[in-house]
Amino acid sequence: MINVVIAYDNEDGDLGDYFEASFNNIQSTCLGLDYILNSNIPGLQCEENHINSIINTFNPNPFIFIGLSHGYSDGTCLVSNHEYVSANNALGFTNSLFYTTACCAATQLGPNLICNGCSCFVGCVDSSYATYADFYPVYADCENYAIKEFLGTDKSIGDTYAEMQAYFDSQIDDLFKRNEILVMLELQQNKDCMTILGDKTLTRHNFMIV
Amino acid sequence: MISQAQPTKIVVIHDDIEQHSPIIVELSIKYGEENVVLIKHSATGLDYVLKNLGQKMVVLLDKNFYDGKEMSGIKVFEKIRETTSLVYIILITVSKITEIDDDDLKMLINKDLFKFESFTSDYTKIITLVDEAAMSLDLRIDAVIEDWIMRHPESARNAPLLKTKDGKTYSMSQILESIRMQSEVGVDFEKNLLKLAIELFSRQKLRIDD
Repeated sequence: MINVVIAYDNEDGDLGDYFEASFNNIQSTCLGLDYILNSNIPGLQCEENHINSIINTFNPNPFIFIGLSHGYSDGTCLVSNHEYVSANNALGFTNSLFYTTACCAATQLGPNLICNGCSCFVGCVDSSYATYADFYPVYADCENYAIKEFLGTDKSIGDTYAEMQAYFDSQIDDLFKRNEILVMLELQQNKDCMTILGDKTLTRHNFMIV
Repeated sequence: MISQAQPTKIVVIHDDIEQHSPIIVELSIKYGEENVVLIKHSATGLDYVLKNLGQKMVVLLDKNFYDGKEMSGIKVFEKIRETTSLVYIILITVSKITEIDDDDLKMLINKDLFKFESFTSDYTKIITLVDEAAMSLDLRIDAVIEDWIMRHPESARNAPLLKTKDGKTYSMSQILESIRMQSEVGVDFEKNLLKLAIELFSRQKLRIDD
């Protein structure tokens, strides 16, 4: 079994629908995999105490945490109504693979989590965008590509991350044919701002617990 | 269909140039009579520039007006720069550069005066500078974006153009203002558009006919 926690802020006034679409995008992969054990945390439950109560049941076993919400522009935390991942609970993510599309989280929070024993962190070093609702599936497909491939195959997170970059490019090229320059602009920025920290050789097998 | 870029207006703010002066006649032949505007009072000239910011403009600005009650060219320059950095300004004067006050000179350089030229009988030098400015304007990414935004109706300019995942939303009008002031979100928008163009160009394969 692989424990996968997905926190998603579907209650956010601006981008709640987007975070929910992104959650469903990942969930569609997870539901088809019988070795995944999901803990889903919607917006109203995205609070530090609740997150801690779930992840503490996994420690010290490895697990995967996915955060789909806003991040502060100073890069220190993931936030819904309250901060739910920050330096306060960084130790709880020891041995985890942490995957987030929140703004700027790779500048401060990512390195902090890695220093506290998180195995690998994938996130953004700058602002990321999702403005155009008609294209939510495209945004989500692109930025969730690496984690979905990681969960569904034997590839390493480093390899699926590299494939994700190529997938972004292919989607941008498709949008070019449709003259969707503004969406291309945002996808390009979202691609450029993603980074991976920590151990890139991990595969899903490193997260299997009996 | 390729849309036609709007023409550059040449705005001459000078109290010693007449409609029939050779420089105006030459500029009218080159840029079209309707695109050359002669204004003899500095305050009126400033007002014209500020009311037409959506228009690509090169301003030929007299440094010293004979009437002491007129605002000086340097003051007009400073006032324009308080609102936009996108208008190219060429300061013309009969005086020597050494006669300009040190602080004024620093301000002119730091706030991007395009060129400084003596106004002599050889006006062709000034025409060459206007040509350079007009060409540079056509190639400036910020001017291109401004042009694109101004082609949208006022109502469309208030719709969200960017939504970031740190919870911020920007309309076209806000982006436009930021581009004119060269502040962060506008500069980022320019940078992202350039990055996208570079990426697309980098991926483009050379097509050679068999």
